Amino acid sequence: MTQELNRRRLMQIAAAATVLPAGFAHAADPLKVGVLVPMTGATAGDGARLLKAHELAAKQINEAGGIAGLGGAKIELMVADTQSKPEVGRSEAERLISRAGASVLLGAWASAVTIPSMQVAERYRTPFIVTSAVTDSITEQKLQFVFRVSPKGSWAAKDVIEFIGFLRQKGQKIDKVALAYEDGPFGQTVSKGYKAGLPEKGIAIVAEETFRTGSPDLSTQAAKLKASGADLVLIVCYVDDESVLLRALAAQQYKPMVLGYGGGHVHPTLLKLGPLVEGAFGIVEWMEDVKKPASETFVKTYKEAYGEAPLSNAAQAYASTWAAALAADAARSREPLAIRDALRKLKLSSGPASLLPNDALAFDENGQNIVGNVMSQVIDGNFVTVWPEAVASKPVKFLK
Amino acid sequence: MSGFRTVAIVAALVVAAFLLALSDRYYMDVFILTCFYGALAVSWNMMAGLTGLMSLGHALFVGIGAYSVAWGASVQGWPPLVTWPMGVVIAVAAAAVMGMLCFRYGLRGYFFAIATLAFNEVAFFSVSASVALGRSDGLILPTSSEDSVMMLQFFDKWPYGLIIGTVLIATLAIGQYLLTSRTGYYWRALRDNEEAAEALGVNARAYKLRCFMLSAGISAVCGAFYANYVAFVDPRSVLGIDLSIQMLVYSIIGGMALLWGPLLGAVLLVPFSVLLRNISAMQGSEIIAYAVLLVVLALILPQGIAGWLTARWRRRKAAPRPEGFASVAAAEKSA
Amino acid sequence: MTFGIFLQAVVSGLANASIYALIAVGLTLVFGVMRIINFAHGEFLMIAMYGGFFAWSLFGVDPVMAILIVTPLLALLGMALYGGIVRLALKVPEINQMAVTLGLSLLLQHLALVLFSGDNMLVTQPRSTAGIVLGPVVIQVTHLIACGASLLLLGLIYLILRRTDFGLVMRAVAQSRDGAALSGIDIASVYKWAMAVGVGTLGVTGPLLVSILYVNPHVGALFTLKAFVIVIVGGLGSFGGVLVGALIVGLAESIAGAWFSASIAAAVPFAILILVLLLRPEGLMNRSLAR
Repeated sequence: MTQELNRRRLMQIAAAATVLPAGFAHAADPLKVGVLVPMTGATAGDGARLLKAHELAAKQINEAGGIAGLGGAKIELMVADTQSKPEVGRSEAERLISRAGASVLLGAWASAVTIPSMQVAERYRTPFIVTSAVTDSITEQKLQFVFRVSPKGSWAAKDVIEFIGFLRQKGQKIDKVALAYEDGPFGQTVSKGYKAGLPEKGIAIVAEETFRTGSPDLSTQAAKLKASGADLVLIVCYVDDESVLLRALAAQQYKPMVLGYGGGHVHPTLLKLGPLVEGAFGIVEWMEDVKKPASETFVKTYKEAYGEAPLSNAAQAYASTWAAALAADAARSREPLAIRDALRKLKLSSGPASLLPNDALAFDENGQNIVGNVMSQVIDGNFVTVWPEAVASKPVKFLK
Repeated sequence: MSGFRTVAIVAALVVAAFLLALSDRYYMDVFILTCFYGALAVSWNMMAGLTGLMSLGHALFVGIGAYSVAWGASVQGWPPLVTWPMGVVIAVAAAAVMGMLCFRYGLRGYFFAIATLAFNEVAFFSVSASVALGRSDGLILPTSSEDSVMMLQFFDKWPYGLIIGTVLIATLAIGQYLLTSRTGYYWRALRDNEEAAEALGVNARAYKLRCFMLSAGISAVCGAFYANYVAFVDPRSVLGIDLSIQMLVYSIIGGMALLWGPLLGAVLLVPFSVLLRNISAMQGSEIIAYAVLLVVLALILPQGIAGWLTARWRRRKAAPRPEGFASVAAAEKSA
Repeated sequence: MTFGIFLQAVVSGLANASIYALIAVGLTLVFGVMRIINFAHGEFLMIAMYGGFFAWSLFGVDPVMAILIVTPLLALLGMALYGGIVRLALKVPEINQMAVTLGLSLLLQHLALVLFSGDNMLVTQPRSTAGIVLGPVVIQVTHLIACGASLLLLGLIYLILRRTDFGLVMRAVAQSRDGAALSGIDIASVYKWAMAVGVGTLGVTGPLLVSILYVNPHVGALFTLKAFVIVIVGGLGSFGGVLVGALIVGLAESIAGAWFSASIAAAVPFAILILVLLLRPEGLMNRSLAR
């Protein structure tokens, strides 16, 4: 409901701004929001996309007249490059808060950079909204100033189990599941969740194959996966290794159902593989065709602004920017402590921040947004949301 | 210029910088990082510049120090009082084993460098696979909102500045002490001509080993500090080759022939990259500027900035002599 | 693990080995002649991979054909590298040389990031997913092509070094720089050509590798260290050593990967390197290309 009110207030200010002299509307100091993203290093491409979403949200907020609760103050993004390095992220978080006077921080892509950065924010008693890092422990340390828009990595197991149940209901035979993951921070985190969660529900993991980024030949792993006779292969890796693995599977003439985890599995690069990925599933935090009004508006404006489709993490970045602005609005304050308190009470069931696939963007007592994942499938060369049915845009397509 | 006087001047500058940084948390952060990288580079250069042992795997010792503290704190609840010495002991022992193997088989130059790199990589991948050490996810040190001297946990930054500033000054003092002792002369003799030194009765293996162990120990102290300061360690940040390369870069740009040369490199480059991050908008421009600087300086100032400065200084003192009389190599003697 | 899987691991190790050999041969050639270790070798590989990618994506040139375009370009780059940087680097101490090439590697990676963004680019052709079944094992067609090219290229370089005047001069310089200079060989020109050939070989590797893998600005760095391991295991500057080193590293990594986790497998080449350095520091094949 707060959200509704806020929207109305934003509208009023927007109307007011058109009649008042420009100088007046700009009189208020901006709300300074620090954004930590990797702009160099191996994940620079992801950082650039996150930034686009942050900037889009800021632009919309400012064009709608700024933050009403702060007398129409604009939101000002202060962007810092973490270089994908923990100590740089840490020191940039320090700078954004103590030098640049950020009221709230957003970021910082990878967990390894997010963890030290958010600890800085905690010590400074400044709220930090984690956009996309999935390491469970981030919201398990009883930190008072850390909030997370993205789900915990281990929750994927729960969604996968439900999805397998759903596929079985539809008459698919899924008895054996195999795991293939990148043996680095990302793959290890998510696969740990799978390994703990699946056997509990009676789904046996019949093979576990690992590889490291940049391996030119994955045919041994592919052969072992094939030998395991798995009906479904759960893949956890970045888009680069995924292409190598899928090609190796195809060369073995082994066509199991595959379900990849994370943004890498709904990445446009993957579609270049053509028929190879047709029918492949992906578990991801958000999809551009998620059936929610906020989501549809976001996709439309994002495409207009940048001429490309947004990826899942862009939605999280967008939601986090709006959450920061709306919390400052509700708090009627730029004070980090007041914004923190407002973030705790935030419940956004409509409006731009509600584009993620849960009922409302809200943070529990650990700062965790209770949000699940959606399942995508490549149908006719496009990524399509097929599950949960409430937000699905098309039914699952079965190849066999 | 006597070496101890130089160290005293440098120490005074460190103290002055610390006092200036007290005014502002962010300056203190830059001060801390500069001291951290400075102490690491000085310890690395004790091997490379002063004894002629080029290591590309020094991150291994930083990692041992950092992981000892992080594992001790997060898994066992041990205080730094226990884990710092533990890290140093393990690192020194590791250096002893590596050194004995490498020196016994006479590895030098590139070969020694690559061997240390290989040890580092084995450790990197082993930690990445070790469940007890948190695999690639790393270990988070438990933090609480209360300051704790026992756990080296402070809200203010100055205690961290105090610690790492002390480590840096102690490193310089130890280095200077050893350089003026017999050990230091042997080290330089080994660097300049190992065969000749051995012919004169220097036990090359023992002195190289001593240098390696000392350098590893100091690096481990820095690593232990890193773990307490950042409160998070993962293989990439404390065991990655990037860290070893940073030590090399600071030393080369600062000047390897002098004890304080690498510190100068860190003093110039750490704030330089912070500054570039602040002012530049183009992605990666900081690293591009940094890389160009590295290539150019390594090519045109083989003695580094410190070597160049001391050569100029000497030249000025010897003003009546014709230009170019003081050779750059003279700079080495002042170390 | 069944025998079939073991065989597959061997085949996969051979495929990797042939790619590694293609990358390492240029590195060892440059070291053999000039005694300089080029830490930016992987970045030139990255450039060659972008070359192969753009030849395919912009002009529809098959990566195998793109070799004919990319190789001369890389050779020119190698000459420019010599003229612009390496020529000067030869005058500074070993450790500065390392710093120079490390700096160059950083520079090229980040220039590529500015030019091409950090995204992965893929070459997709019908043969990307094709495999040839040989009993219990499958070999991917793109890998097979790389194997063939690797053998051809290594054979060609061997012949050049052994049978031509150019190779003779090159070997003379590798054996004794001063001796060669005294007998009237233009050292600078030999160095320039060694660099051209050393970097030029990547013009063959790049297009083939990009059709197997993908390309992004940091992809080359994944291979630089491995190439070092190979040339040192085989013997720095030794031509046959590259083959031996590549085989050992490729096979060990692949077979270890079939048993253990990938992180453990990744440590294996370095463990082998340590053993080789300790037991036989000159490398397994100590016949440098001089002899």
